[in-house]
Amino acid sequence: MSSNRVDKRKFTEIRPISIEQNYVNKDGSALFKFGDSAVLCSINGPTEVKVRDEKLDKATIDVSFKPWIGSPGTNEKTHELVLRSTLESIIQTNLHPRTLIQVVCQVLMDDGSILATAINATTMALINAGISMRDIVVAVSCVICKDGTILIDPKVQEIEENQSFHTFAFNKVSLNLLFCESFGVFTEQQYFDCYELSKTAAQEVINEIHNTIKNNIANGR
Amino acid sequence: MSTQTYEAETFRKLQPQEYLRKFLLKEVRPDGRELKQFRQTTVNLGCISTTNGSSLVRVGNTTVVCGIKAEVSIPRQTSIKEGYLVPNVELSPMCSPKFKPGPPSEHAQVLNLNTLCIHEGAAVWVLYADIVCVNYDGNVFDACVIGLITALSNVKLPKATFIEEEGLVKATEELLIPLNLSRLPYPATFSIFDGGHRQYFLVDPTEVEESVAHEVITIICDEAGQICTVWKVGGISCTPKHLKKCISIARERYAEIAAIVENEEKSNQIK
Amino acid sequence: MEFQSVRTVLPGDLVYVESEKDEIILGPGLMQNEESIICTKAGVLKRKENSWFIDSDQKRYIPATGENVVGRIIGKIGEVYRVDIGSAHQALLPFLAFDNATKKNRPNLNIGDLLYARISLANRDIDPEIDCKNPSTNKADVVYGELKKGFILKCSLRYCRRLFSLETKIIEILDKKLAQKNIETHIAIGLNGRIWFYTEKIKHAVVFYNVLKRAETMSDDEFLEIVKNLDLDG
Repeated sequence: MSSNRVDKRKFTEIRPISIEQNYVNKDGSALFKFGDSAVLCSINGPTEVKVRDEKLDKATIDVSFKPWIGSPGTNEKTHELVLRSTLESIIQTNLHPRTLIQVVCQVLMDDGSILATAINATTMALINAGISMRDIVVAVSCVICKDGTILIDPKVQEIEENQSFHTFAFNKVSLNLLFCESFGVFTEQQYFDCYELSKTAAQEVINEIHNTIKNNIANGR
Repeated sequence: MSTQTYEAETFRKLQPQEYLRKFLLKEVRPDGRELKQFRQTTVNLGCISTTNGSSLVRVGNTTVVCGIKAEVSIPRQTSIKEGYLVPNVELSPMCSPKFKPGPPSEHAQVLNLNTLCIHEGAAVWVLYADIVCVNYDGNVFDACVIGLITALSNVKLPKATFIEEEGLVKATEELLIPLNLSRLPYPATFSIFDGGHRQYFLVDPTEVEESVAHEVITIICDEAGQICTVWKVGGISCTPKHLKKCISIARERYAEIAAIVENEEKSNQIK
Repeated sequence: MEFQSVRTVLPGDLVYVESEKDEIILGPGLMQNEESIICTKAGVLKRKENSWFIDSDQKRYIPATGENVVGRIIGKIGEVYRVDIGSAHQALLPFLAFDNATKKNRPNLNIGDLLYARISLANRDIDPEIDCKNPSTNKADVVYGELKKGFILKCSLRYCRRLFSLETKIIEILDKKLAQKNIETHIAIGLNGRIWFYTEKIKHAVVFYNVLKRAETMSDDEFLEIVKNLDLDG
């Protein structure tokens, strides 16, 4: 099936993924790319926590999200909230009480689906940092066009022209919905179509992550 | 061996999770509601006369006031035909010591932004929506959205014309046009409480319920039954079946709010 | 019997364990959740009979009792030193946790001094404690204590563990080489991602540093070969 997408992709095809771990010299870091969209995530921790933020029974997770251009605004604050609550559900925070796990996401290039890219980058960085997790989370974005077609992993151009924009995050084991953000106007049917397509795409992301880890371990020895 | 007994209040403070779970086992909530029952909601339109549009919304004990002020401004470079909406939520220590991130600005899209255009590329209306939370008792997001939407529907703008020679905008106070809203979306928020063996979906959570719940889902529907927003923060995973259930409850809730607002509008007209 | 590699795993993967015995031992990176066993780290799943663990890598140190660490003193409070060992919390080193230390005979260490110590208490809810007591009083195996002069190299935890298991072999080879040339060298491998070494000549320190940095991706045999062929002349 040929399509009229800007980059000649199929409707349900994600852009080529590129993952690089140990990108900066921190406890854990990763650069995740969906095509041109790139987010660098670095993790510090478990490390010392300010007394003010200290939790007696679990680790504090601090997320800061830095946009490509300009200074962080409300959108970035929302991204931080989303990342933090998603991470709190998968990281075994109870293993490291009274510590801080610091997550910094820096957008290096914004070409759409930036939140999904950031979530995936964070997952890779956490794996790199060796932080104990119950599961891993992967995210995929999609848009619904005015004519009802669903485009997976849209570029900036495709997001601007569309009816609604969705970001889904799934956990790896059960592929259940962990996080969802949908804006625009759409029907229930369309929503669940997006859900299913994103789930298929998320499986591809998981496979890619698995391959990367395998290669890294094989080369590290 | 003696067993120690606690007052219910002590138990609530020591073991808030277990306290709530005990209630939920009996399918009832600490404030006496059923799981699927919303708190009593009231809407009061046009309560602030100095604004272009305003509303006061109460959801249980949560109270928010929304006022909208219109100003003329230069349009954004990227969209010269459209005016814009600047929402701002104030959660002061007056309502609660906790701070919660306010609603994202995406609700602006309900408005047909073209109608705010006075003269292409020169002047547009800017609507400043200030939402103040007066009393915080959970689910402030729903209250804010209802407040914002009802206040918007209450907005009446003076007829404005752009005079090219003078580069000025003239507005006539005599002719007030109500804002043309393309749809009226209303929200419904759910908290999910993980009770070990089953997940409880609590509709319209109070502050106490919010603080111990593991997950929040907000769904915003419009009059055609279409969905405008689905927002889930990522605390625990859930299945499409659960989401479908939430969506259908959100639709019921839509009808409920729509009826309340309609009543209020009627009573306003009689006045 | 050596540990066998089973497969590469990601966090959340389920591990199916068939064991003849009723009892299995779960090592780092594995967690029991009701009836199933889940991985919590990415790495290679390894087993030896009924013991399982995940060989993973990280840079941040999480203290575990009995491990040897290289630390730096950063403060003195009351009767204890505060020591930075690279973990989330600073480790405590009581004044009396040294050989022959008494209330009157206190150790004389200052802020900034390096030492080699053993973790005596590791619990996630309290600050870790370390001591410098040597297991036997035989003078020859004095291991723990202050590390004078020298150089510190930071590296990943897995690499440190590997070096630690190769340590005796490396030292054997080095000893042979060095005995002939009469050069004094010391090395201390901390499992907290820090390797300390001291050589008389700066030149040797540079050689050591480069070998240790590059050897991370080599196999054990390759590494030992390099140590054998080290050029320590001049």
